Parts: sequence; C-alpha cells; structure tokens
Amino acid sequence: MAAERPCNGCAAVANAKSSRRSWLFKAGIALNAVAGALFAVPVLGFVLSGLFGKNPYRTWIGLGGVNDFPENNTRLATFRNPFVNAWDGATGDIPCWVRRLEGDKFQVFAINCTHLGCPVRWFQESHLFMCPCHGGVFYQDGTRASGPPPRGLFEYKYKVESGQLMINGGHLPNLSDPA
Amino acid sequence: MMSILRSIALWLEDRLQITKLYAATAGHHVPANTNSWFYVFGSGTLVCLVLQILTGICLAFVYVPAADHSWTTIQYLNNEQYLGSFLRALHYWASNFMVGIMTLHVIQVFLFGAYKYPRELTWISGCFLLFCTLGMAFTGQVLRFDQDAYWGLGIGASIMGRVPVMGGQLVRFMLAGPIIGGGTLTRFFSLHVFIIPGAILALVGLHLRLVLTKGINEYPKPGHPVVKATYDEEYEALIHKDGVPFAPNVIGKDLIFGASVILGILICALVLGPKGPTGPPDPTLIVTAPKPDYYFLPVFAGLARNSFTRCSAARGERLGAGPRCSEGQNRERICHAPIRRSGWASGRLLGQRRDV
Repeated sequence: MAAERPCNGCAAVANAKSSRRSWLFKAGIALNAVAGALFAVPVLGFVLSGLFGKNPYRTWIGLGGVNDFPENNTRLATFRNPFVNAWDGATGDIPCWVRRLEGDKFQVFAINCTHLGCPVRWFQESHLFMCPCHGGVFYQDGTRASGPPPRGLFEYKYKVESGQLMINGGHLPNLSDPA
Repeated sequence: MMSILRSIALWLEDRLQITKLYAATAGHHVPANTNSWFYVFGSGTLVCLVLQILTGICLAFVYVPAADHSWTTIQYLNNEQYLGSFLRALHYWASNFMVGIMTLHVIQVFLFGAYKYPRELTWISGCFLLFCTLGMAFTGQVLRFDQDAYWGLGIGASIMGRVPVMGGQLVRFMLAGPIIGGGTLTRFFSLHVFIIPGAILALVGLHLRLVLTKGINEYPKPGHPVVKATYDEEYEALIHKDGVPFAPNVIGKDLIFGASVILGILICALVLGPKGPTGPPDPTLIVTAPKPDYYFLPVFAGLARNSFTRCSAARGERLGAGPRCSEGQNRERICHAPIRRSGWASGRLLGQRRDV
C-alpha cells in the first residue's frame, strides 16, 4: 500500500510547511492589527473630535440697542447664535432674559434652568422666573429661590458698546460650562 | 408539475440543507411544560422589532434628518404622504408595544428564575437588549424634532453637564457642537437608524443562539431550586423524557400572541393615530412644558428629587416657601428636600401645555 511506503523527508517537509504556515498566520494577524489600528485612528478622530479641548464657542453677540430695554424691567431677547450651520434652521435662534436695572447696568440670564435646561419664564407680577419642568424658581436677580436647581440662573457677561448691548456667549449653558 | 416542484425543492434542499437548519432551530426540543402563555412575551417582542424595522424603513423613505426640514417632513408625512400618518402611527404604537411587552418578558423571566444557571448570559444579553430598546425609544422621540424633542435634548445635555471634569466636553460631544442643532439631529439619526439597530440585531442573534444552546427554562416548581451540580443532567433528562419540538408543538401560542400584537398595533394606530409632532423646534417659543414619552415619565418625574442641592441659608428664607437648610456633615449648608409646595405650584402654573 502506498501509505505504508516509507517517505524520506516527508516529515521534515511537513514541518517546514507547518512552520511557514504558522509564521504566515502570525504575520497575517500582526499585519491586520497594524492595518486595523491605522484605520481606527481617523475613524475615532472623526467621531471623538468634539470630546477634547476647551470650549471654542464663545464670542460677543449683539442683543440690540440699550434703549430697547426699559429700566427696571425684564424682557425676552433673542439672538442668532454665531456658531450655526446652514441647516440648523430655527434652532440657531436663542432666547435670553435681559434685566435692565438702570443706565448701563444690566443682567442677562440664559433661558435654561440650571436644573435640567428647560426654558424658564418671567412672571412680572411675582417678579420670579419659574421653570415648567420640575418647578425651579428664581428671584429677579437670577438667584435661586426654590425647587431642585443647584444654583442661580446662568448669567452672560455683557458690555455696552456704542449704545449696543452685547453678551458673551455661543454655547448651551450647563453646570460644567456656564454662560 | 408536482414532480418538477419536488425536484426543485430537493435541489434547493441539497444545497441549503433547510431541514437540518429547521431541526436545529425552530424544531429544537423544549420541555413540554413551557407550552404556556407565560412564555410568549419574547416572541411578541421580536414581532414588534420586525414591525419597527419595516415601518422604520418606510418612514426613512421620506424623513429628512436636517434641523431645518425634519419637522416639515413629519408634517408632510402626516398630511400629504399617502398612508404616511398611518405608518407613523404604526411605528409609534409598535414602539409602545415593544417596550411594554419587553417589560412583561423581563418580569416573567425574573419571576420564573430563568436568569439562573446556565442561562446567565441569556439574561445579560436580554438586559442589553432592554437598554438598546430604551435607547431606540429616546432617540426616536428626538427624531420627531419638535418642542419636546428640543427641550428633551436640553435635559440630556444638562445631565451630561453634571459629569465631573469631562462635563463640558461630553455636552459638546452629545450635541455635536455648541448648541442643539443640525449636528445633534444627525447624530441621533445615526444612533436610531444604524448604531443601535445594528447592536440590537447582533444581540438578538446572540440571545436566540443562547436559547438554542442552553435551552429554555422549564416551568418552575416550588421546592425544586436550581442546583448547579445536577441541573444540566436533570434538564437533559427532562428534554429526553418530556421534550417536544418547539415547532409545531409549542409555537402555536406564540403565533396567536404575535398575531394579536400585530392586530393590537393596527387597531391602536387606526384609532389613536401618530404622536405629534408638537410645536416646531424653535427655542424662542418658550411657552412650552416639555414632557417625554410615557416610558421616561417616571425618570423625568424622579429628577425633581434633588435632595442634596446646595443653597445659601440666607436665601432660603426669603421666599415664604423657600428651602429648609441645615448643616451637612461636611459643614456646608445643604437643602433637604426642595420645597414641594412652590415647585408643585409653579409646575401647575406652567404646566398648561400650549403647543404652537
């Protein structure tokens, strides 16, 4: 029978083939690991690009003439966020509460409740800001009155230039990154 | 004619080996006592998943995931696209049924002790499926991109903003930019249409594979706890002695339940219609009382309990219903439960919804 015939060197050839195959297998795994890592760099960089660095979205934004806001009054103002894309639609129009004390003294509050970001509303009769979501209440100067919010309203920095009220903003205020 | 069909069937069988596949899957043996109405909720959830995939693909034919157009395309679906409103209703009601039936499935599995050895991984993969399904529910209500969706995203961002150290970055990552906008919507669209469904299909594959490899748990008997050392042998003997093929012996109840689920979804969609959208996603329309879909209402309500809110003592007394403050262990002023009366009152005051 052919199978019983001695085969000089068969085992050596088989061993050589086996070691070559095992080398190819290991090299294949290693090469794929390198290729996979090189592929992952741009993909992860693309996905995680927003996760690093400081907030770059901050600039001075005009809210209108100072005289648009009567003294001792709190009014809703809106501005177009400067950091928008063409397809953002109305989501780029951001409201805020402007309280003019007297002259050039203002307080400009973000619309977002400091609890969970819902839109607070001003009630002239009670001189309170109230949140519809979980009942957060704030005094007219933005300090916290009651409810679950952990702090007073987010307040934008402001300046008055050539009769124009400007605020420093551009991002959604939150506890880590207030206005 | 019959002989031609038979030869075609044999030709296909020779190549695809359907009978072997059938015997290893639908025809696998299960304990006879699993032929119970308690065991139908898993397949009911699977029926909902299939409906969601089909109706979701239909809606994706029309829906535009752009912040300036998505609300308009939903109006188009509701009012102009032939059967668009009905397809939206089917997708919405199938999602409600899916969350509901899945919850029943989890409760049944828990009460029957089916999470125990050797089916721990079946339970764990099921838990991930539950999280994925809730993820689909949340991202789905974001795609409605109305006022509720807009402020719901605001709530999500605010929660992210509370994460220490990385909070600000996580908010920008979640929103794909500085504010809720077009980038946020496409991010959630990708999650809803590609990422989470992909995970769900992979997990369903794993879940069903485990059902086949580790079997379905027998109907539990009082006084017969699962003993790891002997369970496998006992189960093997039970299948050998009292096992029946899942199809056609046990599948009947699943089929009837599955059909009832489809009919229930059709009736709800027909009678109750689709949900929303509420007003357009315009943040300047502030007269709104954001509210999530029902499955997240308990979480939304629970978030009102923020009992360790810091406050200043002096401020606490200024309003009649101000927070009561006391010294905490770390000697900071700590508000105990926020005053419910004022919170409740303002919630009532603002809660009257005015959709624009």
